[in-house]
Amino acid sequence: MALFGMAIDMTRCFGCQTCSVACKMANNLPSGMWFNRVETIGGIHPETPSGTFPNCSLSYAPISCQHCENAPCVAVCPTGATHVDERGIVIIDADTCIGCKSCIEACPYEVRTFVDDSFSHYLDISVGEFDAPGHKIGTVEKCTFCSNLLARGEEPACMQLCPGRARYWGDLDDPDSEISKAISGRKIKFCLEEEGTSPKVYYLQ
Amino acid sequence: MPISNYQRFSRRRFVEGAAALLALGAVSGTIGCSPHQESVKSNEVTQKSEPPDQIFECVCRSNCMQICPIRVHVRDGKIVRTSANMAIPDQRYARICLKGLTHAERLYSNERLKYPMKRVGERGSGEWERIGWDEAYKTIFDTWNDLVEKYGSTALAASTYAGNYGANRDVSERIANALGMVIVQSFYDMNMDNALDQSIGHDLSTFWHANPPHSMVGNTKNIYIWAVNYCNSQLQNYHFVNEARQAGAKVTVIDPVWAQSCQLADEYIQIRPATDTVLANAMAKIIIESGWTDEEFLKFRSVAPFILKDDGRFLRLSDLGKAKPESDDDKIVAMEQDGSLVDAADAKNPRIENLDDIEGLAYITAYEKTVAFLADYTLDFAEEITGVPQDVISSLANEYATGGPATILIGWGNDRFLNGHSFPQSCALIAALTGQIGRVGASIGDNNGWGTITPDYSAPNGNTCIKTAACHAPQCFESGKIFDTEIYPHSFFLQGNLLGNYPNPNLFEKMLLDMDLLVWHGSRMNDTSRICDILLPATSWFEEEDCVSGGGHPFVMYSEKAIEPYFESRTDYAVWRAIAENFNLGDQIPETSEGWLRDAVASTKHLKEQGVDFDAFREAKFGRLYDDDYVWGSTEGANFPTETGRVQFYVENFKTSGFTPVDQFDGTKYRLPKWEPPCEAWPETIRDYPANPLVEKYPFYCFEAHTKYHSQTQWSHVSTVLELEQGPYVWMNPQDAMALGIEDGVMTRIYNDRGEAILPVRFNEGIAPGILVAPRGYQRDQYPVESSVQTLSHEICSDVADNPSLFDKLVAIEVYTGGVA
Repeated sequence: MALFGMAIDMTRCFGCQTCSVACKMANNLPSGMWFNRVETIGGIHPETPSGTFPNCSLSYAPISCQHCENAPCVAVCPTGATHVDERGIVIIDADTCIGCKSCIEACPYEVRTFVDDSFSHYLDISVGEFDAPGHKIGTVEKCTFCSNLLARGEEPACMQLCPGRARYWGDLDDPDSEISKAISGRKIKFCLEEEGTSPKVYYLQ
Repeated sequence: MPISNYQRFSRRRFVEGAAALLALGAVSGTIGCSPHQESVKSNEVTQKSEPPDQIFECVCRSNCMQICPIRVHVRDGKIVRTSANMAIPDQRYARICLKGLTHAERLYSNERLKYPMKRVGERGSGEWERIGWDEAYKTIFDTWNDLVEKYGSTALAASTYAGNYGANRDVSERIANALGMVIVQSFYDMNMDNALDQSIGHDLSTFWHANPPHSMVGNTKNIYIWAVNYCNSQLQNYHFVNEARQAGAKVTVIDPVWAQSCQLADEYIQIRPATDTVLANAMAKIIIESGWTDEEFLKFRSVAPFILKDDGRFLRLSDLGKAKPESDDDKIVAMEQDGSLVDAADAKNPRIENLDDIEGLAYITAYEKTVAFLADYTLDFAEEITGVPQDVISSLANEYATGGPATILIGWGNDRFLNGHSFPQSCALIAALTGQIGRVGASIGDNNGWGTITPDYSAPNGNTCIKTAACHAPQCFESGKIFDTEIYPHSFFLQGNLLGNYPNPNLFEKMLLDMDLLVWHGSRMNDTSRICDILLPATSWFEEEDCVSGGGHPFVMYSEKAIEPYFESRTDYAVWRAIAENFNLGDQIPETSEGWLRDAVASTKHLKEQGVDFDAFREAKFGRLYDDDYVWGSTEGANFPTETGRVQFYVENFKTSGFTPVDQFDGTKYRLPKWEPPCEAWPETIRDYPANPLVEKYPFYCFEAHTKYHSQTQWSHVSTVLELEQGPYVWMNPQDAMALGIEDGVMTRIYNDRGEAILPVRFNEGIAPGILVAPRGYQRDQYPVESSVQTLSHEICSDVADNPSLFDKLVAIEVYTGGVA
């Protein structure tokens, strides 16, 4: 069984938002909900740099569920709804989730959203993949690494085409996989490494 | 709008969190196998199921200049998803963006028009009544027939604008010709592209005069992103810049503001807006004085050796009595080292300076004329005008000339000033001086096969329409004349969103409101439709088949019909066909759009040369414009597609791209890239160029940025896009703002004599002091108080290009104290 991971080359990402929107559309996410977002590392507003003109600095970091090996959300889940599956993917079982939100508090990446009864979509029709997970009021949702797409041999929506060619995907256990080759020999950082979560999203420097 | 979890992390925690990504210690070294433990448990769905969606291969084709092949996923007759089409024959050019992914929201949003409507209240009141197509056509054609009978065909005007780039919409050109109506054409980008056409030529498309972007990788040593925020406005090809950089190229951004493209660049050079010509000309002077010129290139691939007569024209064999004037044999001559005069094409080693007297008279070459012209562009002068320090200019010139193959990616930032036509010409000058063009890795300008599918616009009945550029239209309508032709416009047929995109819309609105009948055909309600009398619903790109060109990649593309027309919407072709039939001109175009597309493909040069007809093209979906190793202008000889086959930094016959009649246009003043200040946006007195007195009232430049969230106003109401950008807004330098007592986030009013925009300010350290940047792409009703940044711009064009000068304006900003909706 593959152990899936994702790598993002920060020397190539230019914050184009394609991955975040690909995710939102493919998963038919309600208004206001994002499983993947591109954060600006810079000024106080998105896409603005830090520093003082003209000595500025700007970069971007796409952030989604880090699918941690040592996932704080798993540790606090009282029902076992949040768990790591055999592919290394952190999954929430909507049938077991009681919506206690303890995982939202525990996750340092703020990638989990509680679906309350006010959720709505922009359109009357469902968009995205036919088998995208539904949205169940009173539960918590997040990135599934597009498990529905993986099940039929496809890549997650955010991976399907990165305009910056900054994203890599694949089986971390397979040395010939795209991701293994991408991270090989590269300087790597993990998001909030001090949290000790052991993410499976690699940020290449 | 709901509070987005998108914003939550940024506001509170993520600034630290994201920053920590960079601050944390790195794990270096090879990671071959995973450090992660094996699975814990799984109840994940693992059954394989085939998606029930039908997939169509279509083309996303707004006016963003990218033109992307996409897959359209259809379920139950509706488009539910769009994704990148990886079937593109060269996957380096596979592409999709946040806009191309949100088509479902564009197609099924509330702004989409379902039925023909007629106005029942005052114009602009928003009161409409649904009618049928028959009634709509009857109302329109009864009025039009009366008007044409009374005033002739110029009673009718049309503007088709940029919403639907494909061969089908071009049928409007043929019908307009057959009918002899007035066409109001809105141009952009033509300052730059006309100048490049004159100096280095173009292939079939006026936007095609550079090496393909992939050839930068591994070949180009220096990349200059000049007057463009490339990672935003040309984002599909930005990865080539990064890959070239990772392969060893240095990337330099030259721009008035610290644009986002600076994040992955090696150097940023700040330049005063609209002074790029001066910088390039100063580089040219240094290159010549330092002896960094490429003599071979100058002699054999540029106009350098051509000999100038008193009138500034080139000396030809006829001037020596050796050929009949203007005959095919009347070649331009050059002087060999031994003093003999020969056909320049045959010259073994032509002189580019120090000519002998010819028949007792002294002459100079185009090169010498250029050297003399550059005398004014001293380092002192350039530093004062551009604000770029002298040592930076010198090292830039040195690096460009001697640092190996260099590519200048010119954008349309400079083009948006009235004087924007000279800069591309000075780029051609420095490229010719150094041989940085016509070889692998060296190039200037853009590579875009825009318009390479070429339907025949000419009408079989021999009639022609009367064209003017939008910038001149209000004055033409007022005077009843387009140059010497009398016109009697009483009704306007509009496709697209003239009032939402064009500068100075208040002026155009007045022009339109003078019309007896305003008819609009479009898919989504916009600033233009709301003042019209009859609205006709238009299909989207995915509701008809079409053939599409352009996009900064080597392909032309066939776009499938994926779904049936939305409610009662009809295609451009159907509506123009109905117009033709009303005027008994049905025989002027094929019966169906398929017939039109067949003809268009048959007359498309690159497909014809490869023996590709419509059926083959429809089957393949892609047609190739050039091979992988394509080099602009070939790699040797006088093969540039200019009048002389050479790079023309001195243009003997400079032509306008606008509609100014040939006999009313004096091209001689544009032969060399002479810099003039912009027409309005010149707020300081520098040297002999006095500040515009308007600066007392209006001290700021104001740029309408093209962000990745918009393509004109086409994505204005797409909810997902709005959630991300949360505009409209204006970016401002914090020091400037604080000096005026403006705090971050407050509502401001930007204004000048023409208009105003009410919108919140966002502090941005990347914006140079003295400049405001307000992204375009929103409609008036999206501002907190109805207004728009377009109203601040003027419509003034130069005679070179009929090109609106969107950035060439001055504005003031103040805290807005009125109420907002």
